[in-house]
Amino acid sequence: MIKKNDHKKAWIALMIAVAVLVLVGALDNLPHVPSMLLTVLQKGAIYALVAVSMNLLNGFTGLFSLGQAGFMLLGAYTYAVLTVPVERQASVYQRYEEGGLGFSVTQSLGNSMGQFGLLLGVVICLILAGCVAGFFAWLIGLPVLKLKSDYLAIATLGFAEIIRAVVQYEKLGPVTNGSNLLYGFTGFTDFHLGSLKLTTVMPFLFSGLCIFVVVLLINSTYGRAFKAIRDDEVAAEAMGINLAKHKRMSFIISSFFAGISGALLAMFQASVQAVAFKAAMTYEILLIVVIGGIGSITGSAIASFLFVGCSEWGLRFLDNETTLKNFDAKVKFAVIFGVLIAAVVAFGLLSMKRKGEKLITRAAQGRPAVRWGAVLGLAVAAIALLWDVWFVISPRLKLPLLRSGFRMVVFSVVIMIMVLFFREGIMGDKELWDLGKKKRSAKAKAGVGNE
Amino acid sequence: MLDKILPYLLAGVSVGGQYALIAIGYTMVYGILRLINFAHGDIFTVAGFVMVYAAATMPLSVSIPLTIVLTVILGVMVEKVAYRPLRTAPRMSVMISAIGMSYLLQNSMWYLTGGLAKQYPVLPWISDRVNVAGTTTSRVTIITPFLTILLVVVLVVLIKRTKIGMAMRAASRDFETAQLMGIKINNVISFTFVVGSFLAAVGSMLYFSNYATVTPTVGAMPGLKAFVAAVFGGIGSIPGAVIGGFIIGICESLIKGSGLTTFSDAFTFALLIVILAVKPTGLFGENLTEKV
Amino acid sequence: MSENVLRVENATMQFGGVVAVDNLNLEINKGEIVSLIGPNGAGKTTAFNVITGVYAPSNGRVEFCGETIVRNHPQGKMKKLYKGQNPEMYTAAFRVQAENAETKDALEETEKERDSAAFTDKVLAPTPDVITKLGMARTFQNIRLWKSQTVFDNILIAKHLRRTSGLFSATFRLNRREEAAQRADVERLLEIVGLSEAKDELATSLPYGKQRRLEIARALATEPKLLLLDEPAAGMNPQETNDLTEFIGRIRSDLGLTVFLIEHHMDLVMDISDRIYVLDFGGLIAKGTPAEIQNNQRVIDAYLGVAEDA
Repeated sequence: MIKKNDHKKAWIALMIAVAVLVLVGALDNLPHVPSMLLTVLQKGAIYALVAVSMNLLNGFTGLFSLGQAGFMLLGAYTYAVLTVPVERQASVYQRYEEGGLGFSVTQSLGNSMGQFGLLLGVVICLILAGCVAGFFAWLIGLPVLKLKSDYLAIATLGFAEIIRAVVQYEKLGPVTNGSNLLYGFTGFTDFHLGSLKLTTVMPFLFSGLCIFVVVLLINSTYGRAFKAIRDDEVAAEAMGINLAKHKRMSFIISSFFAGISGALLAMFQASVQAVAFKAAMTYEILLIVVIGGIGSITGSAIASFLFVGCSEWGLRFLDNETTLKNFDAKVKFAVIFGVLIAAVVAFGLLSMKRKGEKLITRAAQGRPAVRWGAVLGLAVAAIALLWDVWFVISPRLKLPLLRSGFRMVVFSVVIMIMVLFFREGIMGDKELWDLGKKKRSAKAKAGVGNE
Repeated sequence: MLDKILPYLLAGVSVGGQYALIAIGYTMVYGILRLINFAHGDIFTVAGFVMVYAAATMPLSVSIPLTIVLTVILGVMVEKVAYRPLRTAPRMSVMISAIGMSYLLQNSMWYLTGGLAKQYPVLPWISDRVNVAGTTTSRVTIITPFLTILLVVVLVVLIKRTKIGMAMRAASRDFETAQLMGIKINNVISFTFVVGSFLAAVGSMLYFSNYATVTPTVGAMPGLKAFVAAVFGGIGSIPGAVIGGFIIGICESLIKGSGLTTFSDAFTFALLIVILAVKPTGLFGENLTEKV
Repeated sequence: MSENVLRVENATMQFGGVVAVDNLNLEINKGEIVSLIGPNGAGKTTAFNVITGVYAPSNGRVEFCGETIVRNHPQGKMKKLYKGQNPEMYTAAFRVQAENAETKDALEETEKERDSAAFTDKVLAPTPDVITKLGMARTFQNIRLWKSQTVFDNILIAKHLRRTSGLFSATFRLNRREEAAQRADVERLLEIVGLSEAKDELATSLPYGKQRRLEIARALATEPKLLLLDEPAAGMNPQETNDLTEFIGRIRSDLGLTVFLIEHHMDLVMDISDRIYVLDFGGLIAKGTPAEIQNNQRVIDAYLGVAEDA
């Protein structure tokens, strides 16, 4: 009985996966598809993998690590260095005599076996990228995983910075190109099936496969052991789970996939430079994980597409200086704006009421305690509404505030709101396919009667 | 030999003092809330920007105190908005909130300043060049260590001799029991942030008198290094943070002097790894055992 | 003579200057149910923690099924702080006291047989998972179930240590047979503790008494030879305590296990124990059968108290 159900689920999953790939492939090749959409899809898929790898470590094993950018860096550089075409190595490594490895994995295989060889080469280099990252994770893990959560975060952050400094070291220049840009290596655009472009299909394919492996891992006995460590590591140790070994395992696997995603990012950007892999990148991944839900793989995937979509595309208009056309447009704008503000305030107040929180409460010590975040939010909303009215009355047509950089401010505010008020994230700790079922409470079961 | 090293030593002591002032903010907050205030480095940067704008429109006698007051207000508001609501949440959530706050502050600064680097105003007298043992340096370099030590002494006296200081010590020993004993914990925490932000503001004035360019991300590295200093000295220990700050400042300066500039940042982190591996509680930290 | 399962020798646990367990000596034989009782703070859970490897003792030795698994002597800071007895016993400086050379040699031989590290400075301080793998499992005073997992998974996870399949085969489902066998074992354990109906519930949604039973089932899943129960009846009403008493008896008879328990419910203790050890302020003040303990004046003064009309 159970086997049949599993098989059915597996087939459905496979069909969905194929459908997605076909859809993405269609988008790659149809005319009039905005290139922004493709960018968002590609970058989203890559960030999805990083977010899942971070979730594996932070969300499923409970190890708060901030070293992701360092492992992405290692993976990106490994991949790039291995695939820069031989004839371009001289110009890429201009600053260093005899720079470059003198061979290119993808070029050699591609020349002998065509597209298939290219694919094989890329796969090999991706795996190597992951292995290099995983190797460093093994090195770092030995001393670092014994630390308590905050210290672990700072130690991994520190290691990421050290890795970044080392990679830029002049003496390693002939291999890494020091602090200069690495480019020219095999990218997604090099893939095609006959005349069909596969630029977006490839990241989806690679990312999807990796995420699939992580899902398998999470649902295996080792994944359960990781979750046990997260929930209560004292009990886990008492039940025979070796903490050091399993934490290291989780760390290495997470870094392996982070390395692969770094390589995928390199392929997407067609260039790599160490300076881009700063702590800020890790923070972005962390925010994606939190928004999606710590402990939910589908959440991380959804959130990364949302994040990339909003930051690259959706909120771009906030950066442009906008002048409205005429009075009618102004009124339309003012109404929509006003309604939006009112809706957000209503939603916020409702959710506060549902949780039983009040703006100002009489605290035990007699003095009122103020929920500053909510009060501040209300104040901002009130000011916004007042401004809205004033704007309609005034002769101006230009919208204030909208200029370069505003997008990121709004973005950061939204993130803070999510972190403060929607800590569970989008999916909480559930997966997309769990939404249908519910873990029945004991009471409900009792109500059903004897079974 | 000494005259070759001297300028670097002086620079190191100077920047070390600035790190120390920032590190104190980290260590005090961590001692009580067990929170790494990632936004602290950005508060330091904001202090720099406020000064830039204030000094452009007001005389220094107004802009200096104004900067300090505004920085303190910002620090306290960050606590009330981003950390207080999450006080009962798991540690990871608060840390994420701190990171998010840091992100917000950086983006806001970028937006408000248009992304261009600003020049810090020259503060008279402290920016003057002076002659010390054969090398010229700005007076800031000489003043910083003395000022730092003075402030630290005042702070330590405050913590050891006043009621609020005792409350802070109690709260960092055992947060919940302190509350149960009637200590107004919110006031203690706000006061901690007031002190931390005040020191960050002072630190920023000294720092930017040396390195006069202010950008939104300029505080990230000093902030992180100050945090390492706090960990190195023993998180929760103020003297430790100060000593850590000076050590990191001096070593960093000497490394820069010896030509390995790319590694000056990495050195700080290597130091962090070493101390975490050898004695995670830092030089002056305490050991805690968990009851099973 | 019954086979010895656990022997604790001169175990002392000191935290800084506080002696939590003072020179504890006890032994448990196969098939016995032995209880450790005493007032709160007497050091009972600390003794458990030393035996299971959570703490390395400041001094002393623990032998499990004839093999020394834990061994330590005061070192570093503890050397100066140590207030307990026999500080040299587990070091290279130890000398057996004997009348003549022959007896001395014989005694040294026996010692070396029991403890391969005898007369050396060797320290054995394995982590708890190593000791669990050897066949010792425990429950906790404050229930430590895995909150995000179901009842079934809580027990299944405890079988992870007995897996022979590695990471790769587990991830890519090449270990179906082992997985199925372990799941069948979990089903059986669920039946034994009577929690089969609740198997898909979240562990924390169970009522308190059932959570305790789940914790015991989880410990049993590790296939132990010796089961340590830390206050299994805490918070239970008389009926539940009766059920538990019966259950522990069945664990011994049906599953062939040896049980060592800490408990404050005296009816349970007196009912089920073969022998009892009494701890007070870290030191052993009495040991014997339930009847002997009940009449021991020192135990009555320290802990049991007297019936009102006495």
